[in-house]
Amino acid sequence: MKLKERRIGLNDFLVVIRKFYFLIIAGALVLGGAGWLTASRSVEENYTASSMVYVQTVSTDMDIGTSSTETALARALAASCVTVMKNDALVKNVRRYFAERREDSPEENWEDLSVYSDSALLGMISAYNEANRQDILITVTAPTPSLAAHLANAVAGELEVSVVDVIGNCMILPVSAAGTATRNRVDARRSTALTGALLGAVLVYVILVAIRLCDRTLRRGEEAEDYAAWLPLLGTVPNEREGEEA
Amino acid sequence: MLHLLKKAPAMPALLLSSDSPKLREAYNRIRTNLDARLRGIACPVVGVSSPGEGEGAAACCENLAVSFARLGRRVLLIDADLRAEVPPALLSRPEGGLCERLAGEQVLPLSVEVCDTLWILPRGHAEGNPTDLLGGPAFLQVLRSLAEGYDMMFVSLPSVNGYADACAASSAMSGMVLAVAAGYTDRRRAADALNALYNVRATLLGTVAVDR
Repeated sequence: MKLKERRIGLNDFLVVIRKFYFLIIAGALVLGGAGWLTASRSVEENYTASSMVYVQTVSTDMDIGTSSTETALARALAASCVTVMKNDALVKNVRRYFAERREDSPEENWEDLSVYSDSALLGMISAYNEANRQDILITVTAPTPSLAAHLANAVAGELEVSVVDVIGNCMILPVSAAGTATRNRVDARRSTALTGALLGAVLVYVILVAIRLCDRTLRRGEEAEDYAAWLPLLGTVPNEREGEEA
Repeated sequence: MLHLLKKAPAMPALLLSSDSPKLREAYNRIRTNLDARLRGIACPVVGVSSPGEGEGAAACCENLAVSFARLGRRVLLIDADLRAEVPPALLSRPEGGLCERLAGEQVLPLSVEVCDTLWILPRGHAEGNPTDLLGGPAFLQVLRSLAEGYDMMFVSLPSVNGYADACAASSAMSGMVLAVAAGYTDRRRAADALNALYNVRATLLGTVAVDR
């Protein structure tokens, strides 16, 4: 005796939302909340300060001033500087620069760089040279505003020593010093919570759909009738339990 | 594995103790459909079983008996579920019943106070194998002897898949009703039960779905 197999239809996917929307919402809330809490731990603040320097080639002929060839060379040097500046020599010079300032001007509270490793210091520093320009923008992102500003100025000051030695035949002139550092706040709580909520809802939905598709029970009276089409369904008894009031 | 997570349905509401119009109407409908299928049979004997345990067959059987009794028919409800640890409330009587009758004692059915046209025959005290008791000629003889005093009889039977009792007793029935619990009865087990009854040439009257 053959019995009909259940057909999987769109209703199987929609009915899960209708019947278990509260579980889907709960899943979204749980994972969204977990995402918020996790992101709350990694909220960090840092400060950014910038200084600018200008790359000038040293003219061989003092009478005719800067030629177009020299300008092009200076631009190429500026681009090269950005590439080669982040090296051990720069870090070494910056450390020395800070140490000297700490001794000369103790009232300015220059930071002790010994707590930072070379790679950490290099990671704080970035440089940018726009195409066909001779200036270099030095940006420092550091945990404190004063460190950011001091480091930006120190890099600008020591760039000539650390780079010119490598490239040669050029001067690096300071254009602007770093003043007040700007505060950056990296706060991913909202996006993480939203991602978590979405994931939670999808996860619960997928689990519920999987359970429904794996469910081998007869769900309704009509399904029982459909299952064994030759056997009539005499009726369906409503969902009432012993002791319940009408 | 999923069936392990499923809770057995709670005890379904009983017509005798419930005022629910929805429940009454549901059984009126089942009664009408069943009545149409039993037309022309003098004192039909309807066996009620289910594919597995706890799927509401006993309550369904009791409610069907009450529903027909309320129509004015003289109905006898027989508890032939000799496997259940605890009999249904209505059939839980200390007096002797079906088993004593099968042993040859003249035990009479008991009347029910709240329903004038309903009588019950409790299971009594079983001695011997229930399948042998229900599948033997004595059971058919008892049903025939009881048929004279009633318009119809309902027999509560154990689950089809659990024991052979229902299949063994089905030959003495005018027809069988299978109760399935929606959201609980496994499709494969329902198919097994239907196949088991089909194989013994039982007359299947239909199914009753008990919603959860």
